[in-house]
Amino acid sequence: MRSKDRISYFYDGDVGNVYFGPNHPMKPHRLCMTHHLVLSYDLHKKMEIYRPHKAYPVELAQFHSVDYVEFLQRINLDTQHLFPEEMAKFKLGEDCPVFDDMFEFCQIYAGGTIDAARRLNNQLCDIAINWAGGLHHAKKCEASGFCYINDLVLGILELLKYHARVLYIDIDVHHGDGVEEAFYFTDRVMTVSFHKYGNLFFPGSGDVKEIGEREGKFYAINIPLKDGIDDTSFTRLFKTIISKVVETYQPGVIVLQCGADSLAGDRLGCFNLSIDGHAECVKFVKKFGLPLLVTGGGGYTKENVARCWTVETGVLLDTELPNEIPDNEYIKYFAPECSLRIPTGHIENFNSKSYLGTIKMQVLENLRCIQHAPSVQMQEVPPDFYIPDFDEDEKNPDERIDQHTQDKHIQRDDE
Amino acid sequence: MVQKRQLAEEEYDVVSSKHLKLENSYQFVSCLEFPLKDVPLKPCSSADGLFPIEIPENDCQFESGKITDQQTTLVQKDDSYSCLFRYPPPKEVPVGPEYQASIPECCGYDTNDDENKFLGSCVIPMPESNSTVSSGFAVGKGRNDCFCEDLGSLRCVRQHITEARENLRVNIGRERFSALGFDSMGDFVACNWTEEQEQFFHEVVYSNPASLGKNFWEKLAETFPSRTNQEIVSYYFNVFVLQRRAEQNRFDSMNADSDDDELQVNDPSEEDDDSCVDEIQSYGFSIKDPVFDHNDDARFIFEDSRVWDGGYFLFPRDKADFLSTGSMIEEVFGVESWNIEVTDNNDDEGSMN
Repeated sequence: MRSKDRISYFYDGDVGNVYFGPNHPMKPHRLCMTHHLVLSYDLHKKMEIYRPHKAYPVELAQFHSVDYVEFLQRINLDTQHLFPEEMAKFKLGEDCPVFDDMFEFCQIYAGGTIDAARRLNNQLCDIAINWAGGLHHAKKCEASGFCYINDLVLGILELLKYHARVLYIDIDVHHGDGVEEAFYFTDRVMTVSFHKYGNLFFPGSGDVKEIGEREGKFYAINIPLKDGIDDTSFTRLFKTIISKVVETYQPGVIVLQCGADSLAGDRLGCFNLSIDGHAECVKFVKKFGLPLLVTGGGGYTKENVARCWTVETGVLLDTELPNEIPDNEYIKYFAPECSLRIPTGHIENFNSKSYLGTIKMQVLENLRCIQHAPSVQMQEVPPDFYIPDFDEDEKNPDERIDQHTQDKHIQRDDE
Repeated sequence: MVQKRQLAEEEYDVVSSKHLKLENSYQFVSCLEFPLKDVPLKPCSSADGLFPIEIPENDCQFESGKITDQQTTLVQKDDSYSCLFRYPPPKEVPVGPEYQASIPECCGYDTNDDENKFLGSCVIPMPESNSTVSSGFAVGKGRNDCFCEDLGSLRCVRQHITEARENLRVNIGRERFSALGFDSMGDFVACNWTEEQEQFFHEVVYSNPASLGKNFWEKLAETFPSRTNQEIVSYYFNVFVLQRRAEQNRFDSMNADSDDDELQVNDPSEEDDDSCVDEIQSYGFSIKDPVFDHNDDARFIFEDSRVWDGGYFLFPRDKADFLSTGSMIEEVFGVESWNIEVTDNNDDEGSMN
């Protein structure tokens, strides 16, 4: 494992001063709270902090259609009623409302992820963090799910200039459909999303059968889950699958979307993860020692969002944080307990062992198809990386274990 | 180009959207659970991968879901749609130039040299971490011990927050403190507002709730024409919502919810003074005393279920469904508040109608 990671942290003070509208669940103010908590724990003493540039429209158009970007730039609250057709075409006005400073907000969070990718490309840091980013639902030509610009796609496009293969991991409670769709045809990006699926939960995609198409077939992985998944089930599944993915795909860089709506008690989510469980995934990905771009995403109980991303900043800095939250401007949000950890709920976990076992087997079997696929370009020589030991003894002996899941630490010869 | 298949609206007769939590969703999800016995895998006809070959429709033996005492109630009452409802066709990923990204070549360098200039501007450089660690500086320390005689009082809390702010400013320097936006964090923001302005602010918010078809946000912009939108947002979250949360902590910590834009703990007309300085007389409890009961968390109440009608993200028909728990809305605004008529003159799409 790398002895010391250099961390670049991106933040712009203006990103939190926008408002989607009364009762809208997305509250960018959570980013101010996160940032404040991070610094209250003195974590700025272990990393460098950057203010991102505001992404230019031409940069946004590296993925998004020009007319969509232009519309986002010029539409405002006073004029939106004049463009009903465009508003409908670009899916604005309902869950993705127009609000003051909307475009600037997009420029800031997208600029953060783009800058993060560039710093990684130039090897100026090992890990780059942009909690304002991670808006994974935005599509090429339309807004979706509170997301207007897909900063993840833009960041990955930057990384693809320097890396043959990029691995995208998404632990938001919602399917990372925007990122998957953007890269559905290519084997240069593997998208792996763990999310609630079924019962017509938004966005409705993300079935295990979605595996990509054409050259991208088998390079989209979906782990559909049911309500109430807990730390043990989730982290076990996560580690098994991600271990196999990294071993098989051998990416040059990893992008990790850490949507906090997969936490217990989220306004819109339905999982039962604790912050430690959520952070365990971050810790696991960090251990691979690959260049890592970390973003935020969903998260609609803003105190828990701040807690989660602060703990995970600590994880990325190899710093365990004391549970008592230090005095800070927003201490009242964390009262009465003022603790960094949150309790999980007493809700039933509807992910049976057999269900999870079946999903896991399907995913691992599909990964086997990649191992024998001659079309995968192995131009980039990946660094020797550490595949952390995953304790197989933790597994339920009742689960069927496919032979191939027993394989570990296979070092492939590069072609 | 393959067209994205849209689920026909007429196939579903109710709405859901991303921001609805489904009440008892775990109950009717059990109908979609995999059966107890393992489903054997066999290759699909196209040999593209291994998937369960079939999902038994009427298998009622579920492992974790269990047949609950309450009968699972499907929202969909019409049996002719039940097969679609139980196993709705998966959304297909749309493909084509309007959906996928253009993949750049992997050159190992950036063809556009100018873009390399935009790497972010450094606010705090990488510290000499070895020296700070070796000097014993504690990074990530938690709360300092409080030795105030009036522990937990407003004065005590305010003192510690002020001390924390000053420490941070000294730590990172005044310039960086400002560059990182700390000048506009916390109820310190209220110092840029007069008492009268703060009073107006509270009145505007509480008298224009979204659940009654009003938009306090628009009214705020009208009431404070000289204020920028960012100033209003900043005051709203750094002072107003924070103050409201403090009151919730004091009066109703079990149901404290700073994300509910309409939750009122006290009748604002009964409040003596809304200024930031005199916001509360005392915290009413010690920060160190846990009040939160882990076994009775009201935040895990799920909403009434709604079935998605196939649109991506359709607007909830009932405005009061938007976000807040049903019990909370009823408690604050009355059961009648569920029957909402949008007024004709409120046709601004910026409001949540």
